[in-house]
Amino acid sequence: MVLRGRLPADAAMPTPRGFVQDFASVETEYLSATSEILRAVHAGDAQLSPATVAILEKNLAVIDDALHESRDALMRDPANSALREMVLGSYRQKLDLLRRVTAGRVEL
Amino acid sequence: MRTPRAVRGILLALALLVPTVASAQSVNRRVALARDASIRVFNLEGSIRIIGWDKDSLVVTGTLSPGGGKLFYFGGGGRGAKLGVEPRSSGESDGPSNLEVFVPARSKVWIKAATAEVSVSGFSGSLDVYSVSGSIRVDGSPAQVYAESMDGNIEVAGSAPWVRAKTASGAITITGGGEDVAATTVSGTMIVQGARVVRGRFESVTGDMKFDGDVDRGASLTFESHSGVIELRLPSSVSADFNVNEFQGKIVNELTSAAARPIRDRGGQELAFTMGQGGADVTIRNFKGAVLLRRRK
Repeated sequence: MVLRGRLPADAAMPTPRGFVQDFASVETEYLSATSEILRAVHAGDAQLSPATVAILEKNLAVIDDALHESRDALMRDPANSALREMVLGSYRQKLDLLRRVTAGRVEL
Repeated sequence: MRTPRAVRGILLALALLVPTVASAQSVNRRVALARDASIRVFNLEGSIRIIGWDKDSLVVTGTLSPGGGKLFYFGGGGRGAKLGVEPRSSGESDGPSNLEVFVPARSKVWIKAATAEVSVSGFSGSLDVYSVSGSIRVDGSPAQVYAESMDGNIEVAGSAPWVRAKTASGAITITGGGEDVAATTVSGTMIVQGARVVRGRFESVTGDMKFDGDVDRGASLTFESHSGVIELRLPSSVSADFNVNEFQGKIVNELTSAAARPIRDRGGQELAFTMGQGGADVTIRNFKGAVLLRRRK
């Protein structure tokens, strides 16, 4: 299982000054939830096939790139509610993707 | 040199046995079911074809992979049934199995695939489809469609009133009506064409989106992307309030003469205008992909 280095990077996200408290707490929730699932994936608990892991990695990288860009913009402009929505939207996408993949285990 | 009789006998037996073991096996099973029964279908490789019919029964026909006969299961009756080809515990592939499943048209069908192609037709019940990299195509007018594929394409063609489609890198195509539609992709393209969506939410990260349809009075449509191009092609008769927020990309507006306004204190652009009498909401947010508002010719 590769899924390189996202866990520490996510966990270490700095919170810029002036962030709305609600946003910070929602972001913390997202980070905690995604970290938990990623930990399970790292540990092999999710029993994903190599092909699925490859697709997951590719798409997580796409989301993470987008997250870093939009979050950088938000750090420069913390009061921008539309940017906040976009950042949270990317977190939502990431969490949703992880949940979908790990919930997709075989159920007979 | 003459071959001993015993050896010839063994060779003959093997010759007869090999085609039986290596060739695909056919399946033909049926069971009586309630019209609103719940049905679970599981087949990782090959194809799953679901056909809704006006009968109180479930019929499955098809061909199973050479080893799939041992792993095929079929059971249930009355309010529910399940069938499919169980994967080997070792995870090894048995090859593709192709299942054609006739189900009561108003039943609830749950499908799980990996690379298998899934197609659904003549069905008006509730549908849940999960796939890893197989394509999903839904025709007709199911009451509800929930479709997920990581890498496979999803196509919903018809008039399902409630649609949820999610991919990672697979494309999503929705043609036809849908009162309540939400589609999400990471990097796949998204096309919504000829649809009359009342409540719509369309999201991508890098995938391009194209909406070519009508916006009914009272409709609420939201498009959001990070770097995908968001293109809307709308008729000139549309009555809607538009609100576009763009951070780094460009906005092209060919619907009206309204121009995007730069936001001086934080950068980016905003565009807000009303077409016709308004009454519908169209909200677009993009971080750096272009927003193109085109008039349908």
